[in-house]
Amino acid sequence: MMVVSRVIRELADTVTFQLDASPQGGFSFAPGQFNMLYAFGVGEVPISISGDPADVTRLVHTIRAVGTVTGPLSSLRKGAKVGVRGPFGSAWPIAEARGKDVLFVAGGLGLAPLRPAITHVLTHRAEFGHITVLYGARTPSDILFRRDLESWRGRFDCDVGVTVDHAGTEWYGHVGVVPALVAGAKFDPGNAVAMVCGPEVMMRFAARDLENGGLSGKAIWMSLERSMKCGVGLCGHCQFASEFVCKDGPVMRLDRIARLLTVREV
Amino acid sequence: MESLERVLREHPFMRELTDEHVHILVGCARSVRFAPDEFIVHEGDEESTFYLVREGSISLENHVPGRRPAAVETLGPGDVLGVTWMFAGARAHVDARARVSVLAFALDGSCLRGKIATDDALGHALARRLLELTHRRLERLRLQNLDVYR
Repeated sequence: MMVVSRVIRELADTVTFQLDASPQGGFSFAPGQFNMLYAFGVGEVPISISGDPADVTRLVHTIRAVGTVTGPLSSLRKGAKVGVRGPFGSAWPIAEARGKDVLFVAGGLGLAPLRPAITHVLTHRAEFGHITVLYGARTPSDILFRRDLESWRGRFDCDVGVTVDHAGTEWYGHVGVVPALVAGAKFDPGNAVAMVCGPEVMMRFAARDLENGGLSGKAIWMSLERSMKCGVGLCGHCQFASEFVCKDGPVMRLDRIARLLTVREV
Repeated sequence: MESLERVLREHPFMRELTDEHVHILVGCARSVRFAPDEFIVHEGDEESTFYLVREGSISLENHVPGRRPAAVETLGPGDVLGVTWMFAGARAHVDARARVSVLAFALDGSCLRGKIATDDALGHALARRLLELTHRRLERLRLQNLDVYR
């Protein structure tokens, strides 16, 4: 159990809260992993960790209020108690990306599970090649982590592209889907890794554009989402064909799962 | 003319066209620049020019009475505008506005139609390329229409 130390209202329906991990001696995780968060008296839900992996004193989660558990969780205030189980799941391929160009492609709330990886890569900038962050949101008012995006864009060693699906003419940014930004991204297809997170159909389209750009399915990683209950591969709720998203994922390599992404029953 | 041909050759749209075909097309091309917020084409205008965007960004917009004008798509370097030049009399279905300073090639539609009328191979190559681009944009517009972030 941990205590909420800070709540940040990100969007109308999305909050980030920080949990104080100091009493536990710190909380370590790998970028891409998730925790099962328990709202006492309500229920439990898997939520990706969205903070800086180098800061073990704070555990950060970003939650969108969409259901019976995420609603109450996103209403918690400073001092509230939250049950935490984890971390669970596979991580983004940071080690594999060393020495290579890295593309982060995110849509909507998908930027939250990618933020720890982006933070780590930019903190250890010299270990990687060209860095690109591509992000898409529904409208300009739905852009998540705007300050982070502006900060990353303000660096001289990182390309950032932002697009929205719908906008009025007062928006001077890009309008269109995030896969459309892939075509203009700079990367060496023979020496690059892409990490993709967002709605599954968006990830399918982004992966297609990455492959059209020359990137192999072995170099594209996605974070999948399925309904999870136990988080440890026992209950079967998150079964994805022969794999379990909670323990074999959520981060999975495209070449392993490509044939399953278009199977409706999976 | 030679340097215009060399620069035209480098535009992504020309990627799969032969040098001979680019040489033919350069006769229909000129370099144009649009100022920020300048309209390149209005909805309803005859789409008589085929633009290859080199620099800047273009906002495709629709005005719906009673609602705010909507930006439906942004075109940037490497994109094209005015794909229906093949059909004499075709009209634009959106407004196209330069958001920032735009540099582009403008190819005259009637000149292009004249060239492909006497060169089937050129016509086939251009039609194929336009179909490929249109298909890709249709895919993206369908994804946009799914409203996946709701």
